[in-house]
Amino acid sequence: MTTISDDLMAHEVILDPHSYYHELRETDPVHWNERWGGWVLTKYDDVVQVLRDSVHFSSDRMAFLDKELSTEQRDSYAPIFKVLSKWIVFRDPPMHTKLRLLLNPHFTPRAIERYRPMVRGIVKRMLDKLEGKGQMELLNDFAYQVPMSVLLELIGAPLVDREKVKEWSEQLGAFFFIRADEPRRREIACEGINSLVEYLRPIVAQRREHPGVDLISLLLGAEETGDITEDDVIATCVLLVFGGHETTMNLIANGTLALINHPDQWELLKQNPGIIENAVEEMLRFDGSVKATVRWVTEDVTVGGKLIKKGDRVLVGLSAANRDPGKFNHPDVLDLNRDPNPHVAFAHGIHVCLGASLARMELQEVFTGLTQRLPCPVLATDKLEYHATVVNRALESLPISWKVG
Amino acid sequence: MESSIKLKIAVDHNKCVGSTICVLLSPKVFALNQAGQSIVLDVTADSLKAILNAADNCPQSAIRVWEAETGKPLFPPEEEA
Repeated sequence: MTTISDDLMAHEVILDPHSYYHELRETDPVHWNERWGGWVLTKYDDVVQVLRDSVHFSSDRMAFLDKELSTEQRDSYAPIFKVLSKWIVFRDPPMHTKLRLLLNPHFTPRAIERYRPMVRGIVKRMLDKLEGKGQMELLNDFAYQVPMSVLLELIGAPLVDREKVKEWSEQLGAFFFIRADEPRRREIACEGINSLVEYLRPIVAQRREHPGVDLISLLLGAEETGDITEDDVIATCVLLVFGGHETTMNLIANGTLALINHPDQWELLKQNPGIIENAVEEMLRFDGSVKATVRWVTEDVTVGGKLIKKGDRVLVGLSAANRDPGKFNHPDVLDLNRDPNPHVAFAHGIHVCLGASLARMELQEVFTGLTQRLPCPVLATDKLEYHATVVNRALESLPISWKVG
Repeated sequence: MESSIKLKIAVDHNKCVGSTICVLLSPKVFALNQAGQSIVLDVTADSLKAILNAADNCPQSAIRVWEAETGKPLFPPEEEA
């Protein structure tokens, strides 16, 4: 048996993770990756088992990270930990449950419909501006605007702040997405967190004085009854800003690229705008913006016939599961009519993405707008590069061009 | 408090991701199966209001509720169905 490489950051793995995961799934679906220091799961059934078992598989990343650090490291990470440890994504029940039930009504499929007209308007205005140019760099010119505008609206922050918020969000991203050995990673992330926290404080204070029906007022109501603390409120707002925009932006890019590479599917969607819901689900399955998530094992447990031990960590291959031929027919084919489509792009289980319905709605509006207004574009580069991260599927840029008029 | 209208409730397992929100909101009606997806235990075990709230909170819109006698959709409501 040829040994598969354990370097998840190798250029060819970053460029084409799907081929890598196929090979891994075929040779060793519950694979101990010595270099990463944990188990890598690539089969749909195993991935779903882990995601739906929050008893054996903890999301409390900060607790586990804390154990691995020296005292000195712990001190310098403290400002980051203070905020990140309160993020719902890194918490286990019962606190996770409390926060989730509080926030969930604001993010149901019906609740997020209130933002659709605004999103439709943004997409229309942007395409009005861009259509005649015949070219754009999709990420900067288009993709980041939509989710950023939505979440500033969500937290009730002024639209003018979006450049700053984007910058701080990217700084915070350094903590997760830059190599662990990059010395400035911590400082960059701290700057980002501090800026976001200080930015949000006056907004939160204002809402305390004048409560409304918005998300922050909702959180403050729970703070008042003592269910959550002020730190929880601020941390949750930081998470919504951070978690709400990179992922959606990357899906817009990944989905556009998938359509460009399957021009017949662009035409199909253009001629049949009514299939947009299934189409978006397929783009999520085909090349989701979160390749993998992580869990920490609380008790010995069997997965795919292997014993996984307490204290181990597990890389849960979401994109890998989404291309498992054991679950999806012709998994490497983009089929916008695929139905059913039980993908795990938003994960499964108690931590399933809170923003999933909001993201879906934004993507529906974006891809309807793009396919209705433009002919199928072509790539305006012969080389695409992705950010080198284990977790995110993020293009560095996506220059495209199309015929005008 | 029981529902006075006889209900039919279905969970679509192609959509259910096991968020457990329905179980948390209406634990006498919904439970998890071995695969971690939601199943209906007892359609009479909670108020209509609570059951509709659970359906509305499902992040995947996997829960449908009807009036058993007439087949009238209660969730999603008629206009959306």
